Amino acid sequence: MGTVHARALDPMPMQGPELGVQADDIDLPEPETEAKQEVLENKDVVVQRVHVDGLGRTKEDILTYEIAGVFKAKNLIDVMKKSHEARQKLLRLGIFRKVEVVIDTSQGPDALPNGLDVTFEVKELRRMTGSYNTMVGNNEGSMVLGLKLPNVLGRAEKLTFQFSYGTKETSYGLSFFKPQPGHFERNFSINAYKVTGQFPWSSLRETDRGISTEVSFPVWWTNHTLKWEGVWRELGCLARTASFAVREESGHSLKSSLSHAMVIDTRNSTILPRKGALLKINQELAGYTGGDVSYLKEDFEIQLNRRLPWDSILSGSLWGGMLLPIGEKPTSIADRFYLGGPTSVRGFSMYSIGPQSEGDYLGGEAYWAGGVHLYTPLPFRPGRGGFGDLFRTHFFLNAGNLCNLNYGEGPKAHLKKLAECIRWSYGAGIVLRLGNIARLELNYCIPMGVQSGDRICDGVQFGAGIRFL
Amino acid sequence: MMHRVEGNRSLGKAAVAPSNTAVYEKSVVLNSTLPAIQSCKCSDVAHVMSRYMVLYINVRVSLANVCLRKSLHMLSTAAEPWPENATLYQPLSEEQILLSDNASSLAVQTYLRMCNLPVRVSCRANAEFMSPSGKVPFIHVGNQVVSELGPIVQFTRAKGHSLSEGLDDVQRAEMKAYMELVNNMLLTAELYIQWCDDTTATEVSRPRYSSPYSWPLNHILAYQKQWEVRRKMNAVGWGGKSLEQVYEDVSQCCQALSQRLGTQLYFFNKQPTELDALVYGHIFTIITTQLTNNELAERVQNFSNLLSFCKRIDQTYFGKPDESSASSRHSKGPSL
Repeated sequence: MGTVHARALDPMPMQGPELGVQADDIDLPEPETEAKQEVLENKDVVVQRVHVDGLGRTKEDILTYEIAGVFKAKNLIDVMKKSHEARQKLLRLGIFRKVEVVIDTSQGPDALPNGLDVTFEVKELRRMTGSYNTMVGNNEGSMVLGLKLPNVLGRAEKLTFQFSYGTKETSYGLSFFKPQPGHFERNFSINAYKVTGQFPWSSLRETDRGISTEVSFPVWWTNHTLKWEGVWRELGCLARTASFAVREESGHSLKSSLSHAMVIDTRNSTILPRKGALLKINQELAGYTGGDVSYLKEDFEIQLNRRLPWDSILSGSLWGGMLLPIGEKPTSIADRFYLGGPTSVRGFSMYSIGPQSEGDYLGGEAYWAGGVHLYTPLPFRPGRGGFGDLFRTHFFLNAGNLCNLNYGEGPKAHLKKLAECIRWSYGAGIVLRLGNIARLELNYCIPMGVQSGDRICDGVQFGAGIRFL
Repeated sequence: MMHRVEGNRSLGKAAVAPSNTAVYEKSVVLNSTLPAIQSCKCSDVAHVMSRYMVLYINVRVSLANVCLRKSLHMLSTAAEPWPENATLYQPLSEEQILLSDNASSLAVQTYLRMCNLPVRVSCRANAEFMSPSGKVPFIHVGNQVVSELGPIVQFTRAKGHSLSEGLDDVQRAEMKAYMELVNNMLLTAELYIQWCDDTTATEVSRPRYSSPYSWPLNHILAYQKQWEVRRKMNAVGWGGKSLEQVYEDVSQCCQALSQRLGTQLYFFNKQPTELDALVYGHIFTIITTQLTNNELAERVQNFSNLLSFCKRIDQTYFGKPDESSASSRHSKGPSL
């Protein structure tokens, strides 16, 4: 990473007694170079030119925003620092495979004595990259083909296509991403997709075909996303034995929704954070832009992490959400909330809490869940500083509730409903961080407050998740 | 509790499965006899029907073992009485249902009335997608879901209700053969007129079929359905037919039915059977439904004994001894 060459410094003077002796003998030009070297180290410099070598299809105007900072540098250390920042920015665009920085003294007729040229030697990514994966799941195998066209129009736009052909389902997704030049965080994307999901806990199969557009932008230290989504949803029973309540939900619907998400994330890592906090608020309004599904959905997620002595961390999280149908139509099984599983309320089976019919879980219109964790390093700390740091042991206490709201009872009644028959669980286990995207947990759980109809997982529970309580 | 439910479900499946296989086998036979029916003159229809029957009996014998075993199995589940809350599901009757679905639904309702089994009719926009076979109507009885007339007849027989008990083997085979004739000619003709005749599809079928959905899903679903039916028509060899040929087929089918019925009260003497329910469902719906033109209804109206047959069943099973059954298809009680 980050090899910054400063060529001007290469012919460093050997400072020593002999050199001093020689210096007495030599004539004018020599002290001048000596003087120049001194200038570079201590005095002001001017960045006269910035070259970017190795550009093919990338448009130059987008790069000027990224490297503009380099011109503002006033001394050599600053030049190196700014160049390094510019290099990071260039790499973040996701259009270069390699970026190297060369700083040299200015050459040519208009070269100033304290002028510097900075050269970024870049290597663009290929026009198209592909990937091929095979996945094996429960009773299902699939082949995933991915195509990525980075820098499609020369301004860091990205076109990705993913196609998955499975023994049971095929899905695909096409996405176009465009950042605003100079502000990579402000970006815009369009997606078109078809996804099929099977939800055995509800005996439900859902096929979604949709398009969505979204705009992301930072405001102060928060990150916002505005999104419009139009989805044609097809629900069906997974088996003939599905309960009638699920059968009644079968068929087609069209959802058109506007949503807004706000995220504040000061954590140092998303999977096993040591410090920092996360606040996520999401709201979705469906039905005002067309379609035949109308509701207002609100949900939030809070996580706080505190460092304790002996490398242990205390972490607390709270989730909650509410779904309000608008108009006569009741909410759809596909929109409601689900709770339970190895990464939410542990000790309960996947999404197996709350309203159900003949063993098929129907989800709820309101929920909350909270958890307190004490993370500690592995006992005796094997593999410290390396592999062992991917693991943590944890002790946890989870609680939550999920229910339906019959509107008309008033907010007090709703709160009371959410406060009674709380499901909770406690236990301990081992957490493994998988890259920076997911984690695996192996826990011993003791579920409490089990209500009739809930499916529990008493004892050892294993699970993987991206989002966790 | 849970365990018992599971047990019943699997029995329910077993009860429905053999009829499905039987229907499949029969249609194979039928396809080979259909050209014969089409090519012959009306006067030969009865002769064709007898040939048809012989073929059917052969199939039936080959399936006899399976059926026998299954029906014994079914009988053991017959203990449960017909529940009060039995419900029949069909598309929205005012704005959505199409001629063919309405006919099939009426046939099932008539059959259940003939069996004296009360059923509540529930109209759902997604009835087609709720049905396990993707076809309407279907009934929800206890915790079992059964769709289409054939399986429903089997199902009620397993519950101890049957209209064709009194028939001997030959008569029963004859009945089945005529039922297949109605399904293969009248029902297919209805589907053809609905979806393959461009005027009807544009003015009636597509707007009605897609009425519960919002733009642009309404167009997607309507064209998807049309495409699906057209593909099915090509598969059964109706793709190349003209509208006139289809009307002619309807006439021939009605001719065969009319000849078989003659001056009898019902197709088999004085007792109604599922065949009567099926014929009534289709003929009555055809003559009472307004399409873009009246050609289909006029073809059927040429057969006066079929018309009086329909009138008789309508009065007997949907007549109004009391006022409430004017909207009668919703009444719970028997109306004999």
